[in-house]
Amino acid sequence: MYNKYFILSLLFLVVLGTSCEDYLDVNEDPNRATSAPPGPVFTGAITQYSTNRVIDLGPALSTAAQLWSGGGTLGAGVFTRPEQYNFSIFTTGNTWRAYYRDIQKDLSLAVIGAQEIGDPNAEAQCKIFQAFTFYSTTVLWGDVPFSEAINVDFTTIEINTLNPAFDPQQEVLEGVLNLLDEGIALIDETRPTVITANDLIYKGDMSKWRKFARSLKFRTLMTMVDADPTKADEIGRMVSEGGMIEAGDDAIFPFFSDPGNQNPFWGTLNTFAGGANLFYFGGDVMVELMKADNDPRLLAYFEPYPGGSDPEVMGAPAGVQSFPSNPWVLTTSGVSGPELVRPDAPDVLFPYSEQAMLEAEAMVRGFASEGLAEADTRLRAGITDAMNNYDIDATAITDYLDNSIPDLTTLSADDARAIIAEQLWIDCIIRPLEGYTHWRRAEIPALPVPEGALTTNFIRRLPYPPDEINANTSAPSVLPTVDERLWFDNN
Amino acid sequence: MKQISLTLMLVLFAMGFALSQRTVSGTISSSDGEPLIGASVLVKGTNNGAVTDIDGKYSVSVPDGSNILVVSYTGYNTLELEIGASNIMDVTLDESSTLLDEIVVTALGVEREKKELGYAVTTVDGEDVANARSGNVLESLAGRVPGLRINTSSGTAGGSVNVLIRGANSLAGGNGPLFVVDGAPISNNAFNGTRNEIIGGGVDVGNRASDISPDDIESISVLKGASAVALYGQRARDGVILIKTKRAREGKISVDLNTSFRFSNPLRLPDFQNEYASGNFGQYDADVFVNGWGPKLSEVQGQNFRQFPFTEEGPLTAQPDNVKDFFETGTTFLNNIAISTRGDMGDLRVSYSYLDDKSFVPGNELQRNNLSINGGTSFTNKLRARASINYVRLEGLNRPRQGSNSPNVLLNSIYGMARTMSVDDLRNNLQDENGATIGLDGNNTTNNPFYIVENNPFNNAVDRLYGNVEVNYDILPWLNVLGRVGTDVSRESRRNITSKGTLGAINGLFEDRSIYRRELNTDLMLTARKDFNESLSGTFLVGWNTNDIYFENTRLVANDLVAEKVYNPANALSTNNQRFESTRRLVGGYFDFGIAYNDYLFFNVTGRNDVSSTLPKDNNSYFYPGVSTSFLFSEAFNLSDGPLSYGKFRASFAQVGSDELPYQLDFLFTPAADIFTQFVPNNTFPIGGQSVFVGPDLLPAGQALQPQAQNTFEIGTELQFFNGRIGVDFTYYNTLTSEQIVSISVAQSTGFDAIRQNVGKIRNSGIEGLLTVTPVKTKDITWDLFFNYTANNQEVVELAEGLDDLALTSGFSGLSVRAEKGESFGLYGSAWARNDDGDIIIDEATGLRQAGDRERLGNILPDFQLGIGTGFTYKNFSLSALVDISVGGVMFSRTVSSLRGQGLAEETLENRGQIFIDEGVIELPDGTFAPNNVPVRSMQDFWGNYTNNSNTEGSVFDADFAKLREVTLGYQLPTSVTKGTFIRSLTIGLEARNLWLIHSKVPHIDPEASFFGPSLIGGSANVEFWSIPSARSIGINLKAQF
Repeated sequence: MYNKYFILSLLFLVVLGTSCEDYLDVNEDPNRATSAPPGPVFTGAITQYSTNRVIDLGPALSTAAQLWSGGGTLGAGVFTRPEQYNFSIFTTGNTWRAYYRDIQKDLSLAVIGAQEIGDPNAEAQCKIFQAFTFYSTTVLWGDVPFSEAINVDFTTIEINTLNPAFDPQQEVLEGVLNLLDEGIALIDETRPTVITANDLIYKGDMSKWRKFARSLKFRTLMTMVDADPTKADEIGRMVSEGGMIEAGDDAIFPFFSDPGNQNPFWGTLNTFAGGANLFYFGGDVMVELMKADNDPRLLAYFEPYPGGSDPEVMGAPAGVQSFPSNPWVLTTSGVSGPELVRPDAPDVLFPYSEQAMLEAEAMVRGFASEGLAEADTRLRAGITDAMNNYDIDATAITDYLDNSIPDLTTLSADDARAIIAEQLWIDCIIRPLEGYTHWRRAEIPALPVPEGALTTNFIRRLPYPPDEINANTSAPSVLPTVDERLWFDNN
Repeated sequence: MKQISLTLMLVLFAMGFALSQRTVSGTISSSDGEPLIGASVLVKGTNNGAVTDIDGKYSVSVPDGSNILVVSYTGYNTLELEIGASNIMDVTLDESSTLLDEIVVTALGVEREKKELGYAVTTVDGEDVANARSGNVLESLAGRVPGLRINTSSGTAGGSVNVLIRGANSLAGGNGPLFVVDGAPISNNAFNGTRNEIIGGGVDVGNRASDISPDDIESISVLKGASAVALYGQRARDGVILIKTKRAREGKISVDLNTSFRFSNPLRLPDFQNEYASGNFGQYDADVFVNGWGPKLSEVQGQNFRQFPFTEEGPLTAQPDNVKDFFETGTTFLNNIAISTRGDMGDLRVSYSYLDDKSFVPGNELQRNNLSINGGTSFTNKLRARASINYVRLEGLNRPRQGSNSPNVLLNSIYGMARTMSVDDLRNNLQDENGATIGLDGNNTTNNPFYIVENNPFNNAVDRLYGNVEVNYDILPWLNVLGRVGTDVSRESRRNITSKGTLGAINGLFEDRSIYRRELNTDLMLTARKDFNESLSGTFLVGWNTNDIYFENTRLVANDLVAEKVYNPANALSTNNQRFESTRRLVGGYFDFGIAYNDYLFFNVTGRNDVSSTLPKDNNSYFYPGVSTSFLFSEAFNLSDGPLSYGKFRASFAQVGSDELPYQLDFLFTPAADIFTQFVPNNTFPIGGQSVFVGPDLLPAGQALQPQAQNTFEIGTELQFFNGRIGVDFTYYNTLTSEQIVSISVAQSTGFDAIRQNVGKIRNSGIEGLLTVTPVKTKDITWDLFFNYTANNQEVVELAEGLDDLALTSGFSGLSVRAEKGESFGLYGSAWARNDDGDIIIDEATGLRQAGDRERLGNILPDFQLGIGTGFTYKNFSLSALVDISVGGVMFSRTVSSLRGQGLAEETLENRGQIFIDEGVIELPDGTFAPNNVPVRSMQDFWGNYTNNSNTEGSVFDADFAKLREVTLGYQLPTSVTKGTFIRSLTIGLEARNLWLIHSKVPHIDPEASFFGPSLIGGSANVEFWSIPSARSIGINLKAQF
């Protein structure tokens, strides 16, 4: 009797014991993958970059740099405060998070993926974009984690450096140059890259990636040269070598008219204001400058005030808190021609117009030896390219070049540089990162400290996001104020 | 069978002596007229006795010379009665109020006598939750149980209730207790969305433990410490709420009817100013949604202004009741019918409840149907089976959105409307003649609340089946085996509609979410009971448990609708699908060995070993022991005849281990469905036809992860004096939770938000006291009082090395709930800048305060809670009341801050148009401070700065409150009236809940409001933003038994 129970229980335990292991073996995640090819990871990183640039960073930085004005009418602080240098911790925090946690980490993973499959081109694409992102980070904040950022052993799943050091900006920018050189050296145009369809910028065209990388290097050198004049030689060498972005080579991240893939700045206006721009207006300095020169881009940039018999474009002064109602606004989709605000408005990362104008600047400033006449040619090529991007009528371009742009050879080097700086600034209407960086190099045109600004001087940097400062013991203990200049900002 | 044969034997025995003895017979019943079956009747000084039969009848022979009858029944006071001349003696027994024989339900549904237990258990009788019953049974527990914190989040019909026992033990969330119905665990899932979804127009979707019908509850036992629950394993770490459902009572067929009808309205609405129109700095402006800083109404009479609905100009008139008039009178119907019977074949109870709760928010309604069956039978005298099966169908209609960043947030447009807007105008002007939506402001940025209510519902529906089947077999007289299978399967679908034409989302969108959860729990238990000798007995239990939880959450977001009011994904220009599923399993073996000495000394040892699927295979098995003892010194030293009628001392120590969430170990790539974009709905992937994978934001723990551990020690005493007229139950406990599995924030420059680690220790210690007093007890009048007191002290003992402070959850602009070393969980945010003397530093340019650094602004949980209840019965009348008091802790209200910032709150009238100098100091050039003498430019500037996002302190308030929770007045028809009819009993009552907010330091809103909800870490913090006000309800109740 008892034996029977004993044997039965024993059998029962044996059955339970053996099935237990299988029963508990359910911790493999059905929702996620253990590995991913570099292509889809790359797409995520570049989309993250442009999405952040267009909506999180873009509008706030555009008003702080006085490319746009908040106009002050709505009292919606999130739209108006950045131009008084009061940045939301979400603006700075989201950007920092996108740069490091999303873009740099995912590109590091894609680099590993590319190395595993032995694709140097894919690795190059990732590294070039990493360099571009580090450049963006340091021109906003100065000293930032670089050499110890994303220091992760992905095999043992361990972070090697929990508190990445904030490297001096000069070292970060040198690092950017090295990363670009690494990327350029990896490029092999004779073989395809696995990142082709996933490359929404150049569709895997490695010769364009080489040009883009060289242009990024050139932009970086031009950024460094005021603080480190030894960069002048390499700038001159690059100009004479060429091989950088030419007309038709613009680095562009596309948005699409398909809902869900639309330009998020357009999405914001569409969602909150039914497509009308109630939030952002032309800055008065920009508008007055363009009006004075009869710039044909004025109506491509800004929508005239619809009231009255004589529609006119007017800008709003920076920081103004109570601008008269219904002011003049950035153009919306009702205006013909390529518009700033439409569902498929792309994020322009590096247009030829900027390349040409930077080359003109290098010549005017004597870094490159091609001379003022060639500088004049490059500037005009740059302006023409910039105007073409807004479908400006050819005769209007010619009129403008003939009547509003003096022959650089007739000007002093300083005056010639001022003309170029002004053009760079105007061209950057929707590229605040470059617009703000080039403005800090030249401080042309003169911009006032806005009404109600938190500091008495013009803003020179963004405040560090509190999340990073609080979590990173290597972060600076004394935080700089927003009017402290960065290393490069040394003109 | 045994009882019946005993009766037969006794009857035969009695018959044998019939000639020389007289026979006395009668009925033994309880004070409510129920016959008592199995009561014993003994003729004092003889061996003559009888046991009552199924109708409570007995018959006993009384030898000559004997004249005392001793009548006793478990749970009732024993009576000694003199036998008179009559041979018929009907006896009524009163329920005993001492604890000696009280039976409580403990872990795994095992019923034990309370005196044996070495830990604190509080039992709430089903009657208490059925009186003044809330549709949500958890709400009814508020103020009744020491150690328990019940927090109703909002006035949403079917809204959620946060339950916390003895404070929060975990840094990683999931601090709520385990809910167990009839021995099997059920879900208390309360997935309210992610933090962003909750802040951005989240709704209060309720929690699953609220699905139970209050009318099906026999009793609720709250097992507080881990010691009470070692047998349930890890999920019982934070206590267990054991619900025993009603079974058929002994006797004939019984039909019970309980019906309530109640009215409700908001307990509290803000105090508004009614003197100023909309606009800024005294200038009228109706285009901007800033509604209280315009011109003074009395100064602009005779003038006409552009105002809603923006068709023509008109005069401005104050509408003091416009907010109040938006709300309707809520109505609640709560009906239950139950039929039950118990006979030789077994017992069966079938119950149906219907709840229709229309809240005072137009359109918001909860409909709930509960059908439950509970029955058991004996197949043989060794084999028994029982089953309890419950089906719930719930529909929540038009649940209002709370928070911000969503065009559908309701209270923003109700509370925020101009004081001159008339509700009738709002109701009648949703669209203009072209069909375009009319906003509350001329700029068309804020939606008309009636538009949201009519066009943008959030609805959810739950279908749920839970229950269990158990089979019991007596292998030997002292050896029993029990198998129990319990399951809880629910499917919830939610639909969140933002119609085409909504301002702020002009193209419309909708979201469908489906949540499926299935839990299967099995137990196999072998119990041996042995009396070693007269004074020593033992119980040995070994068991085997498996638990399997599958969870699935799918979400579809369809953006940009083509046709209006068609909520089919094919009608959307873009859709975004997400799906998450998880399985977690646990296998455990456990034992519970108890010995009892002389019925006054009890000792228990428990142990359990769990193996979890979610931990690394090398570390996935963990054992945890427990010991407890109970000593009835009143019995041991025979004190019960003195003033101390009952005295018990108890002590226990226990450990509980626990595991991790599923899938937290490996480094995995997520196929990304969408990409974060500020201000607008997220962009979606694929983009340009390309799919996207992203790496994890949380660095997984890998294979090094250990199980978490919790140690609890508690001692307590239970005392009763003067036969139960005074009772004291006191407990001290100390719980240390260590090796917590937590996501520790790291610098984002590492590439991650956080890393998953075993770190941290949290200690919760505290006292719980319950005092019951019956000052008056006569035949007609009884007056009872109870006081229950809870004080919990939490301390974050240790975090990771080098880490002093950990964010648990964050709200808006700098507000966060944090765990700081050496402190309890607190609310943190930027405080006003102060000098070393603590004076607020005023900016000498503006006269305004300045936001300073992040500081601790207060505890999230109260220092102590006190519940005071009283019951008074006079003949057939009964009156009861319950007051709930909470002291300590702070709350953050964005509603209050918005009302002030917009110049709508009453206090913004002060100093308007006058010179106002804020209290504080200004810094002099030499670094010293002088009293502030700089006036503010305007009160709009002052309040704008005071309520600005950049400071938190201005909107933090002490959360102390006192509330009159419930009042009931009942009248039971005397049995003399119902006698002879088919009605066995009939009770009519008046009942009221949340009648009166007696005391609060928070202006304008209910100090209990919160909107993070139970699913977030730190969600028990009182942080609110446009939360729906809580309800006050008054109604009538009718209870009948046939």
